[in-house]
Amino acid sequence: MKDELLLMRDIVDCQLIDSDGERVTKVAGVEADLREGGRPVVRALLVGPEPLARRTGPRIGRLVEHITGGNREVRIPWEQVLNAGPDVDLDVPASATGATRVEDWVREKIIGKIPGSR
Amino acid sequence: MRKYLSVTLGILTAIGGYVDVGAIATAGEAGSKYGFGLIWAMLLGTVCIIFLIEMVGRMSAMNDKTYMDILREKFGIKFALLPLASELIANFLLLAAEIGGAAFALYLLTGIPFQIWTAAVALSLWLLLWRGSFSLIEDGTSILGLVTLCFLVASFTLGTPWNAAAKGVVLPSIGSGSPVDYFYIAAGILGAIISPYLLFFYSSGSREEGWTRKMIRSNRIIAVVGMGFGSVSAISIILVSAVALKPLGIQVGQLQTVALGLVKAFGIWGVYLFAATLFICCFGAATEIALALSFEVTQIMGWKYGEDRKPRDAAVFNLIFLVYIVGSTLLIGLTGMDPLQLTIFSVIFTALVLPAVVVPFLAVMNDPTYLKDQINGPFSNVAVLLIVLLTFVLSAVSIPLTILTGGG
Repeated sequence: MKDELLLMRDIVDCQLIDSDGERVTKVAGVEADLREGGRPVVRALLVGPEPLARRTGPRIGRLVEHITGGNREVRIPWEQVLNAGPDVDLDVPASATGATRVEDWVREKIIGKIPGSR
Repeated sequence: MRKYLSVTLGILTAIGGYVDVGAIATAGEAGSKYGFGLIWAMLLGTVCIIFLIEMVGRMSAMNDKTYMDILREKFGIKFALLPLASELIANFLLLAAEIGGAAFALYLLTGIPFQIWTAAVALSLWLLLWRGSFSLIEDGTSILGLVTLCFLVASFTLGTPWNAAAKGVVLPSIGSGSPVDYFYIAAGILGAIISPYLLFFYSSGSREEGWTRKMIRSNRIIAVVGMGFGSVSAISIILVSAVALKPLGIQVGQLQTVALGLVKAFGIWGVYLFAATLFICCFGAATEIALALSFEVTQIMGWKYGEDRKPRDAAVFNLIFLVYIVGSTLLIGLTGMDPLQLTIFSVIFTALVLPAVVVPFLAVMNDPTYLKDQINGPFSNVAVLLIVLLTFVLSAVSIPLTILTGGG
């Protein structure tokens, strides 16, 4: 990992790559803890519709949270991050993160049911 | 030897991919109404698309990310939404127009109703994307596109007055037409030629082929020669319509009117050639637009994509073009819009949203993070910026005026 990471340059909106080298999604946000002395420490990466919508504005954020019921946010603990900048590499497969819900749902419910999808 | 082959193939692809329903419709209308008076718009559009295609190829040669990936990573999700939304709407209209154009060509050939062909075209388009590989789609449909050169042949057999045509380029005249309509069609030509979907399609295609720095020179040749020859076909449509239709006072009010120029040159074969040209160009463009839509969404969201993957391995990618093909087909089928009107509307809309797509692209092309020592020079920056702004102003001014005066 680089010695110095810039939050917006090297992490937020960057490409998440899983342990198989597969594209997962892009990082929608980060979760930080305020430690003693007020120093923020990154605890997890956030992905999913809600953190993404919040970034585009508070009103859209609330609207999307209303639609999704507010339980579609996925946390990826910082411990699973192998490397950051320019891409964010994970040391777990995408399926273990819970960040592929849309892709999985579309595959199982729609695309996988059409003949010739394999 | 292989390198020459790939350059040749690239040039053929560019020529074949240049002309689509937008170019045929706007060029036919321009020639029949204003003679040689709008060739300048075609030339200006060509200069712009040569620059843009060269840039996007250079981007692919210098880094391993596509434009939409960079757009999101460099500017963030909030900024990326405007170019994304512009493209999703513009390409939806354009896809409908291309499917309509291809169906209309088959209707001209067979007399079987247009609506039936719309469904058949949409189904075969989807099947090709569902099962076909990227190279099949890129090479196959594009090389067939060389049939557009029949307009070039016709421009010679009809005896184009070349001096008058050259004069029309340098000193364009509106003639007895209305200035509002003139600039409306000029915006349409620019919007049809500077098609942003080509940027996303090339950006993704060259990444799928794994371009490296070695491609920079070949890329330049492909962009200049390929797009240059492509514009020759498109300008020929203006010439043929100007020579064959304008003196008789026939204005292109429907797509098949454009065929009359070819009929004058080749007799009944003109109809077949026109239908073949229209079908191949529209079908080829439709495959590229549908794929571009899938690329745009999956790349901006960071999801898996790839035309050479099994559909199950890139489910959302495959869902997006499926939804768009169904949606476009419904738009044509339910609204009963005339294919020509739909085409003009979609290219004018493309012209209107062009800055939202091209301006951030220029910003990326000037960023050494992605281009290293190969960033844009000042001339190409200024040239593209000016042409895109002119296109925007022409469409932004002529749309409300056209609505007010009830033309279009």
